[in-house]
Amino acid sequence: MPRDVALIRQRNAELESEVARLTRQVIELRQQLQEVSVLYSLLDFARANPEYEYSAAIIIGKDPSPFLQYVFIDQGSDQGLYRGMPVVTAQGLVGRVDAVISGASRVQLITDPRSSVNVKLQSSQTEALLVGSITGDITLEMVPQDVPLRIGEIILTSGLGGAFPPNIMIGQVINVRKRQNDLFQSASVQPIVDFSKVGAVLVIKNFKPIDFSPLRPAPSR
Amino acid sequence: MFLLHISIFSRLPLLNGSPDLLLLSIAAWSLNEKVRFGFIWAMMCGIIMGVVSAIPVYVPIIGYGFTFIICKFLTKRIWQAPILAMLGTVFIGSLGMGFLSFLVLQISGSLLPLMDSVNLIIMPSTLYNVILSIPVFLIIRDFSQWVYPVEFEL
Repeated sequence: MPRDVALIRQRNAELESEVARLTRQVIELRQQLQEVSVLYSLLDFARANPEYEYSAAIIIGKDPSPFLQYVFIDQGSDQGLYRGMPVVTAQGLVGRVDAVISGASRVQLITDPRSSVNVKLQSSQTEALLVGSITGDITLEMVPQDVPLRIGEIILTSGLGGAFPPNIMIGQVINVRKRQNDLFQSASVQPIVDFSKVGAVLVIKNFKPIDFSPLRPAPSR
Repeated sequence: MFLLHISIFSRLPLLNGSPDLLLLSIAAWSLNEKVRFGFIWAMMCGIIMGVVSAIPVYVPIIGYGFTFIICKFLTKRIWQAPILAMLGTVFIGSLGMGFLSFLVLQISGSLLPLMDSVNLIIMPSTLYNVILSIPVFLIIRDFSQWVYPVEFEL
């Protein structure tokens, strides 16, 4: 009888250690599954938009200043990244590369208060401007008063200005502000990308942002 | 501290404010009487922050320099209560840093509403810093005692 008890105790200890090992394995596999699902969604986006050349990057940090909405990614000039390259996820537009070093880059999110993106309404193709704010909310501005602006309207990049490629999804209108005395109407936009949870992004490498600074009027003769 | 700051603490917002671990470290480190070149450390932290962050480089340099000066000023007046000096330094330094950032961004063309900036960023960041100032003070004090061990005369 005592021998049986000793054997059972030994067996119990073995099984407990097996359970602990398997639990650890399940946690690791769940983590890997989450990462794989994110990578698959990025791959789907890349397959759906084969005209662009992409570089996948992991977000490794956020700008220390609470006034600004910037993130750091683990790809830099060594991977062929340059300032101004658009950054996207499978859902839509994230921002653009703002500064680059050899192994990392700083990305300005579209929610940054200094960010402005030329956009268009999907239904009417009307051009407008999307600006960020310190709270991380984004607002649609410069929409003409005569344009019907409805809740749920899809907002896409227009490609005007040459900073972003056209037809990248940004979000949906959630609140319209229209006053008779104003020149333009404005609206709050719910971004399609959840910026608090985004972990991996794609940088579009073969899109060259257009620099308009050389287009200055020639001096008169 | 800086890596902790950009990778973890900047992702833990209170409203829209976040703690400034470098400011807390500068305040706690400068409170120690044996620490020499405290101002140099403050400048180095400012340069690192200015280079990495998108905010103009002179903002953290001035902000941390101001924090160091406040720290030395308060230490001379309330030398018997270093924790009180730490709390005062962090409170004034955080407010100074917040308002300086706001002012510079406003001048550089960002349209930041004053009340939103105060209510959602400056005050929450200050509160966050004040809450974290005691643990950071204790950690840095232990670290400074390790770097500058106390000598006993026998």
